[in-house]
Amino acid sequence: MSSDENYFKSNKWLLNDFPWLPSTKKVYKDIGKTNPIEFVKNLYELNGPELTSRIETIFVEAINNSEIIPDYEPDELNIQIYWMLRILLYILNNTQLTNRVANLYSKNALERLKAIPNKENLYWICEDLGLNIKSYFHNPQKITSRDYSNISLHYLDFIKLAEYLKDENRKLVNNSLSDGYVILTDPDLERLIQEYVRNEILNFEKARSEDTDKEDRAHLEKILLQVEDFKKTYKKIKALVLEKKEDLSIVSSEMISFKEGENLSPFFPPCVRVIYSKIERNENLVHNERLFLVFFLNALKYPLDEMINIFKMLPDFDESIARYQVEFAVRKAYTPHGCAKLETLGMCYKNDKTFGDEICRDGYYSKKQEKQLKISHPLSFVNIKKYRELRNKTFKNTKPQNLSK
Amino acid sequence: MESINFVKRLFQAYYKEQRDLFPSVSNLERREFAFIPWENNVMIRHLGFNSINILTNYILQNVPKHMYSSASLYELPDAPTMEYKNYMGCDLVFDIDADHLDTSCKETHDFWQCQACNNHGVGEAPLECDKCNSKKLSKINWICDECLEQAKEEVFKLINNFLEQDFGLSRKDCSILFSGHRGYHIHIENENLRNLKSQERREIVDYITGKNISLRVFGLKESGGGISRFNQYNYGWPRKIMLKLKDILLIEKKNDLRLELHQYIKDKDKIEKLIADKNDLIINITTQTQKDWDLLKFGYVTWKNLLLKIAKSIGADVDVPVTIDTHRLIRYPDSLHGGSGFKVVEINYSDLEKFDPFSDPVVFSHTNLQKLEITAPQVASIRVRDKTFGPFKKGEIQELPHDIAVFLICKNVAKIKRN
Ligand code: SF4
Ligand SMILES: [Zn+2]
Ligand SMILES: [Zn+2]
Repeated sequence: MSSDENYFKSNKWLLNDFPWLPSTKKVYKDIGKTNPIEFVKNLYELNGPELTSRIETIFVEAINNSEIIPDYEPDELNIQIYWMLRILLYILNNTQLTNRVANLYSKNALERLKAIPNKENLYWICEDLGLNIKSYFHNPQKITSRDYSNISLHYLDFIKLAEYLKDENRKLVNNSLSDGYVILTDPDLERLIQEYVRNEILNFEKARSEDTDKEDRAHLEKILLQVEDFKKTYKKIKALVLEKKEDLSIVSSEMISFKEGENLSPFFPPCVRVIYSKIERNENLVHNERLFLVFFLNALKYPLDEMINIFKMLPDFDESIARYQVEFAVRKAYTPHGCAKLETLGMCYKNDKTFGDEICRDGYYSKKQEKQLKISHPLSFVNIKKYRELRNKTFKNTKPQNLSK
Repeated sequence: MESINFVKRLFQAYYKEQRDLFPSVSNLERREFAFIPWENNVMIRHLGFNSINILTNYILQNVPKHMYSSASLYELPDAPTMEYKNYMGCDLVFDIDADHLDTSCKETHDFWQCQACNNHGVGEAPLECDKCNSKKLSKINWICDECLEQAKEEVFKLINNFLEQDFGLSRKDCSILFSGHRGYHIHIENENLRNLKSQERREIVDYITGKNISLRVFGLKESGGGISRFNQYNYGWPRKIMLKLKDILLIEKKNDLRLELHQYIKDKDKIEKLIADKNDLIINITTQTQKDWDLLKFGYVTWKNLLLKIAKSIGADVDVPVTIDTHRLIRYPDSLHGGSGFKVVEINYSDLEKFDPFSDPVVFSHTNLQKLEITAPQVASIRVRDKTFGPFKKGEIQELPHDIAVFLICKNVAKIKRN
């Protein structure tokens, strides 16, 4: 038995709080050994109602782009919930949904990591994740006059974990690399562990083996649906996905996208128009604005050079930097922040005198769902605005014709 | 053709002599091989060899002009496309090429010629011919002690200041190859690095060149331009930058300091400001103060330009595409470079300092003579071993030792002259 495993055996609360830790599987290996149907059945028998409500909460919050799981309970059931997530995401096989759950769960994990009472546990967490680290808890390394490090991470692990993080703080060149290790503050390390969690969950959806993939999923779905309670949860999530389909598929192929010679900017939401107006006035953008704009334009499939041209108006424009940032965004194809996040960043301008828009304030009427819906993403704004324009156009075009006859 | 045959025969003689000495590379049977023949310049690639013997036989039979093997390993290196090769990983490779370095000698020894009107000139080629506006210009990039010395300097920077100091690699892990012409390859074979993806290699190479440095992250404030927590006690880049700035400021003679600073700052007033406050500055760099510091009326833009220029001088000038390409072909050790006739030489780190790129890679005789006619309008001088030849002018006829004769023919500036 490894020393980690012993440590976690006597500190089970860590596993309960961070069920993605590899030691969870070892410490709870008896449960892990049972086959999925057995596992699911037992689980519902023992914890039915609570399990159902906690799993549903995760999916609801994930779809709503929340950052935290309400009433997160670091108990043993939490581990089983995590395992259920794996099963559910696998058979649901919906990339957007998996993304959302991965985002929510990993952001929540970050909050939990921040709250760890004794930071020395970060050492055990890193060890358990198999990260190549050095620790200095008894002799913290000074990084700057203000920041200290308790743990440094081998640069290869750093690069792997930071791969999809595009802010400049996460680039190796901007980090404290010495003798093969990146010397990190606890918050920076926690942010990287968050990435680990996100990647883990993104993998839930992946097939166990490519050939048997389809059958495997279908088969698992079939046998699990024999468990009544599971079926209920499963159906609920499916219904939820259907209801929020528009939200979830925000960057799907049906999405409006850039076409040569067409100007999309009249359909842009307030939050983007504000940034545009800054550019037009040759004002510099702050980092968040810049990134948001690139991701936003990229989601609308703006060509690279078109995006760089827009940045050319900035006073601190540096072609190579701009190109790098834009290329990065294109490659990574991140979804831009949703309204909730933008609001917390102070970047939402729905109530602005000049730029505000009633679509943002009052939402829109969904025919399909026969109800008024709120806007949750600036990209949906573009779709709705564009759709309205098309509708108005056809309306205007046909009406006079009808009259003239 | 006669000239080519002459060189090819000499290459053949060299390879024959090397037959039993020709080095193997690690995992030879997993590497893709490629050759460029003398007859045309079309690369023959996707070849695989199971043993060094089969490889040497191939070389003796074909006597290639250039010879390469892949930095990557494949299950089937001789499969006709990448898709079927089954990629198994790639060594980490850095390329330092005098061609990319900013040295002043280029203005004296590089040469271009218009293919349309034969107009020609010295130095870097213009975008188009200034006589006939043709864009078809042929270039001859020459080499000299200055540019190859600079290239060597970059190798030291790369290995000492980055690979060893920051990446914790040992200099023993770095194999250094002189490319046989304009530069050096540094090749790291390490199981842990083999599986790096292209994007991950870019992170490493960005670190080494200092590209995408964010002064904001290090503590330069965009508004106002003050500096916080950015000093010589940091790690990585901020430390390197501050140490270099301190070194500059410690230059004692004011005039020398002025001259040095002029390389980084154009504005004379700002230079004087820096000089006037240099003692305070040095204190700020050498103490771990919590307080922010700044120079009066120096400004963000000046700080930024100064620090970025310092960073640029610290970074090792490696050719980025080579490192991030995971299917790269690199020159084979001990093979001959068809563009110079020089040998690709593997160098121990401890021998690098005294390695002489105009002597150690030279394999042909300095006593056998050959009569040549210069065909290029003008040819800069070149040292081979301890003798300097040229400069030459078009039509000049010279009886030259084989070592320099091969070089001039390979550089395509001379041909064999029959009596
Ligand atoms: S509501 Fe959403 S789309 Fe509208 S301005 Fe705010 S963030 Fe942008
Ligand atoms: Zn011309
Ligand atoms: Zn030179």
